Amino acid sequence: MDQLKKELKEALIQALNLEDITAEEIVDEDPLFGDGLGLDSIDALEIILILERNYGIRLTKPEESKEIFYSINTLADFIGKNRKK
Amino acid sequence: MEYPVIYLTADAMISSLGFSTGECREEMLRYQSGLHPICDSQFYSELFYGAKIDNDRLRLLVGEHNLHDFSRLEQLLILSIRQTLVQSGIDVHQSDCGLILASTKGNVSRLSAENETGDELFLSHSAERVASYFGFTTRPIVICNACISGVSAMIVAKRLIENGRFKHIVVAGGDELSNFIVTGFHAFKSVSADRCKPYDADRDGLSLGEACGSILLTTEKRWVTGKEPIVLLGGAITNDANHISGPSRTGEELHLAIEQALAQAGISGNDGLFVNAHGTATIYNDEMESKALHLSRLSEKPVQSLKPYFGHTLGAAGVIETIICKQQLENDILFGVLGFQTIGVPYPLHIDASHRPVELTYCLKTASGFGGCNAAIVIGKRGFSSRLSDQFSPLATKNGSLPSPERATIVSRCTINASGVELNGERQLVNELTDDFPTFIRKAYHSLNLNYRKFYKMDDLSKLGFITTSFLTRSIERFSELPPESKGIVMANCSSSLDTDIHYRRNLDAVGDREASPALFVYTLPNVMLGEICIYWKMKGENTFFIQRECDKEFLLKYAEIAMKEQNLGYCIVGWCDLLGDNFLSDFYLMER
Repeated sequence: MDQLKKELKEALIQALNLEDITAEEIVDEDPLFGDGLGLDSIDALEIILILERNYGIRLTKPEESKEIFYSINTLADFIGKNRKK
Repeated sequence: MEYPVIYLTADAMISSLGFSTGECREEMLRYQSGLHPICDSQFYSELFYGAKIDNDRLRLLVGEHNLHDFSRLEQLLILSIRQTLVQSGIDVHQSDCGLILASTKGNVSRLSAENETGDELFLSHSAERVASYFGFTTRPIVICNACISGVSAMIVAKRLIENGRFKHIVVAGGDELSNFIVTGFHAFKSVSADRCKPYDADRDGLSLGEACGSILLTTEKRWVTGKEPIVLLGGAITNDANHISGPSRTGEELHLAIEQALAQAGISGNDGLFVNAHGTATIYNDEMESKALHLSRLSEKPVQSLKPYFGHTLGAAGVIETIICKQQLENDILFGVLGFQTIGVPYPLHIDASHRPVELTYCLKTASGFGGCNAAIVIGKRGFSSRLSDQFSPLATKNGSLPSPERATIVSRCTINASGVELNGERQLVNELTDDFPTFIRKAYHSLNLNYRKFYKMDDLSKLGFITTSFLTRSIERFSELPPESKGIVMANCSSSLDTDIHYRRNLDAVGDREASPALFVYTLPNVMLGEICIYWKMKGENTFFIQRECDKEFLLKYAEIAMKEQNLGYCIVGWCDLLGDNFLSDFYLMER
């Protein structure tokens, strides 16, 4: 699980152009959107692409993703249960 | 100052419903939609609903008029403008006759790994070819303002005519369906699974279409073709200053544009008005519009979206939809919103699925687009306006509400090029010869001690515009805290968003169209840079993006001055911001009045 979280953080930093932050600085339980990392709706769409590309998970409705994308913890949990690769 | 009456006269549109305005109107009367399932890998790997122009018919016309040397979009533009000119009989060789072209993506369908630098990828090139085909003697003006481009072009035309630059202007708008566009909107998950259903509880996104339209605006009544002269009465542009792709949460900014346009027109919402809104049928656009119309107290007025007939035709939308509004005014018929069943927006709107005869006097046409921009224009029956001249004359009101014509002054200037940053003639930062643009612009960012994570997400063009504005506005204390509606921006460049278009195209070729990047696609419009600037510095006034072969500084400063007067702006950022590959140049002025 820790490996998955680390991998996720690195994927987010790269895909979302979070140049001014390192994987170590992203706290597992902190919110990714809004006040936390300050991600927005376009980032959410990019995370959906990461899920498809890296884990074979297809989310069709962005609005379903709100709870799943809350934090690194919730995201890793969801991937752990649903990954196809 | 007395403003001339601007007549909307001859027009022609080519769309999925036909090759003339009359043909399209007849199809609409029969409740026909140009939107059909498309299964063609040229556009997308999966089935989608789109509105295509009949290529077989186009080919015949291209042969007939010998247009083989032009791109498909240029052919469409020429065929449309040709009809408009023939209908009106106007001579375009005169020096007071202009051409304005609105397009979001021009010939982007020609962009490929083998062709990243061809002349046809530049909008000015297309505009000049079209203009010289007809023999216009003035240089064409190009607007690239996302989905408000068509309405923007009408506003630019209005201002240039009112300020004496032209007596006649042909406004043309065109955009094609392409793999580039179709994949991009799919990446945004904003494409409907079925034909789009604006304002409906069941709506799930937009449908894309292609079209081309042209309309002649003139001060001379003798070019009026219809039985009832229709005139352009008002227009305004605002920015949400909220998000580069998501619409405003409150609708206040579209409301502001509507208020300004209605005030200029000298009418209130009480007159015989109908609203032709943008109505893309995405969840958030339609929600935002319902809020804006509610704020403008127009919820009781008939509201329509024409997207179920033509799809969202991007840069053409504002032009072809204005043409259909003019048709509705001329014929006193209100078109229904095809397929509408149940209202599904936060504030109820007066929407009908069926056409009905209604006595109409005015039409409010709105549009909103990426970059957070909103535009509104008012057109109406000339006869009706003059009957009201004692109380409601547009001219009288306009003169009354216009601020005194004092000139705006330039308070600062910032230039960024390969040698570094210069502010008011003083070097602020030297660019090391060994630094590429990404390295240089990050150094500039760090030198400003800014803490804005979104900077790193911007494309290079937006980074350049953002950093230039940071230097430019330093002399104005708390620039971002000044009233948002008092600050506007007028910008131009040559390459539009071609630099990012190339990145998006390469990405698409590498990962396939189902994995296209929305974060890249959103920057494939140059005015998104204006959106970034408006968000950070909280600017909600005028927003216009021109494409020019070379920087026409005199035109831009003059245009900004007109916009500042008309929208009562205290500040306007105006200038040039171009970037393509290793070449970049920004030259911004801050104007104050």
